Amino acid sequence: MERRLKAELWDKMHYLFRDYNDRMVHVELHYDFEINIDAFKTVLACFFEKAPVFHSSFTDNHISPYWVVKDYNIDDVVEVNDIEEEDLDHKINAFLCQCLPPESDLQMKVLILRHSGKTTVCMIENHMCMDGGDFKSFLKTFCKNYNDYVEKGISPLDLRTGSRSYKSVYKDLSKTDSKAAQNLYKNLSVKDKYAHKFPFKESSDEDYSFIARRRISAEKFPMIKAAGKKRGATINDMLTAAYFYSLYELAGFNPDEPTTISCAIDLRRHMKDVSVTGYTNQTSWMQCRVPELGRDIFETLQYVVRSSNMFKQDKFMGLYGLPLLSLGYRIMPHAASEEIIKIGYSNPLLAMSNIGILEVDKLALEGHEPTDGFMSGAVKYKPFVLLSATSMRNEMTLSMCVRGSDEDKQIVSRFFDLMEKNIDLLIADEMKTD
Amino acid sequence: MKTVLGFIDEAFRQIPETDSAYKFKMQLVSEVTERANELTHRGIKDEKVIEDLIISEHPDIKGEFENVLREEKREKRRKHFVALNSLGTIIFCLVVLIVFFIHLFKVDNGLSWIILVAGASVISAYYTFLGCRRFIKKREIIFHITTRLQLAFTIMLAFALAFFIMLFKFNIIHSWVMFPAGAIAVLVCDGLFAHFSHQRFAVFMYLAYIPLAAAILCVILAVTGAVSWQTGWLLIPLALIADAVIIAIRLIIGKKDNEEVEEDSVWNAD
Repeated sequence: MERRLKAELWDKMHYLFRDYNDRMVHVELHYDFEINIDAFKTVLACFFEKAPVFHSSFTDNHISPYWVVKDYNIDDVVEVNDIEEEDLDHKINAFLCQCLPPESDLQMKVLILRHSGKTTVCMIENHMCMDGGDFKSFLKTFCKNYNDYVEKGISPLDLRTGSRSYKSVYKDLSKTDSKAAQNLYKNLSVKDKYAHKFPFKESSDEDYSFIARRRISAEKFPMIKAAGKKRGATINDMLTAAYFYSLYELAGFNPDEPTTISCAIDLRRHMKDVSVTGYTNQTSWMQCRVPELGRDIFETLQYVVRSSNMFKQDKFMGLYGLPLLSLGYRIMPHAASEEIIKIGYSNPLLAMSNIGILEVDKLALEGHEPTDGFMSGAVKYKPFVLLSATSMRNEMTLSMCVRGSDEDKQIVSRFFDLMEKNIDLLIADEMKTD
Repeated sequence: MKTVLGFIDEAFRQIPETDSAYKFKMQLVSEVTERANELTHRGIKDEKVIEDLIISEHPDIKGEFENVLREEKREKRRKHFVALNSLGTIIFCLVVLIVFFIHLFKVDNGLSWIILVAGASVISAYYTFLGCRRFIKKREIIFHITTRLQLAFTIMLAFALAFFIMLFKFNIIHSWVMFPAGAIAVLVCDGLFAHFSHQRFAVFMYLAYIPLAAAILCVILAVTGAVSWQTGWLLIPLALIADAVIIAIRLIIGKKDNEEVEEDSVWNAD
């Protein structure tokens, strides 16, 4: 008899996002030694056994969708290739830009590339299974289990296996807060009058998926932090301000018009203990709005800080609209609820996700810390964009996954140039001091 | 597999030796053997890992056994319940038929058919109740809607029966009021159902049902001559006042909840 898993609220929501993105989360990690492939496969197979959603197929039956657990072989999940150094980038890009359909039997794939005594690990997973925050936690747990298995022979079974329900977000709130949060039916989706878009070219048949990246050197990271501190801004605020400023410049928006960028927020901030919950999505959006461009980037930063502080003051930050979504999915058949939710939900045209620090000590395998790496969100379909930011050893990687043409690639590259320039403007004082 | 089998043996030391326990143990051994084969097929080569993984999937064998016993008991109870219901229905139908025929041949006043209608109504109401009980366990709102429709149907059936009895047995001229009265009963019961099943939007039902029930009641009372039309209409503004009172109470409760939230936030502040 087939084994079924419940499709949770966020599984259904990310399934609905199929019109806006390819739902894949990407990770790339580089190690300066050859990892133990058998151990890697054993650990991953154990994790798949502990969290069967990774080897399940999503069934949309229009009434009530569900996951069907499928049989698999770990060799279908992990592909190992010995390659030449010059083929590395091509292989990585080809792997990371693929899309796993939700109906497929596997929701995660790994590519291990061995080259000149080094190893590159690339992973993709369906966002319906877990978000970037949990994927990061998954990776850290994976590395810990791998190390314990290789070094001490401990079986790799230490993986969180609790509920995947969105309701876990209420579990650590006080009784009255929880009751109040579960009555937040207000829909906070923003329908911006100006609907400013990233200046991509029109969609064409030649469009393909690509991941554009730009590194911000490690020396600049503490400067961004210090410059932000002086102005009461977080690193996220600094990046958002640079994002706004670069966009106005790149797209030529009217400087007097307001623009909104949606920033991903991790709803786990409302949870004291996530160890009892399973791997899932717990992400929402915070709308960061500037009323105008501002006279200079520092005024833009002020607007950003004001906007994000307003959101942060709200103790129910990110929890609005969840009860409404849940109600929508409960009272109607799935096919009907999708159509209704699409009317009320507006997918952000401009978004940013600060995935945060990839801690090298926690991602170390057999005592070897990763030499390089990054993580990024899904490939967005035009006109939607998502700027992802991760940092490793203070080196920040900005990335944008886009389905577009070569011209779009150039536009994104120009955008990154502007981002770098504007970040430099923001930290100009710190650079002088140095 | 030695470690896993040893683990199972160890767990079964705490379980009394019975036929059920033996059957469960054999089933468990077969299950873990199959699981080990499945894990090997999936690519886990290390036997120790396979054994540890299987053991981790059965942290409480005694608990599993107790669950199996509980499930068996529940299944037995369900079978008894079905058998009892079937037997009870057959006996009830026979009794109704016997009463019907006795009435038909002994009294023969042309109203014997009411007995059949009454019998059918009782059976229908009983099975509707069983259906409701089953659906209500599923907490989805869609099932609540089904349950509420079933409840309304049962109530209307009972009032229709009362109508037949009042009309044909007692020849009451205003027997038809049983239908609007049934509608009021449906609204009242639906409101109570919403309240006791903790429907989130129950308050909107009260707000809609109270004026509606008052309007129907006004018509019944005025038509039957219990009150005059001139005074009867006052029921409607009274119902609207009741609505206003409900809204006020809800607002006060909501405000109180908000104040509690504020207090909490003061306590929880860093």
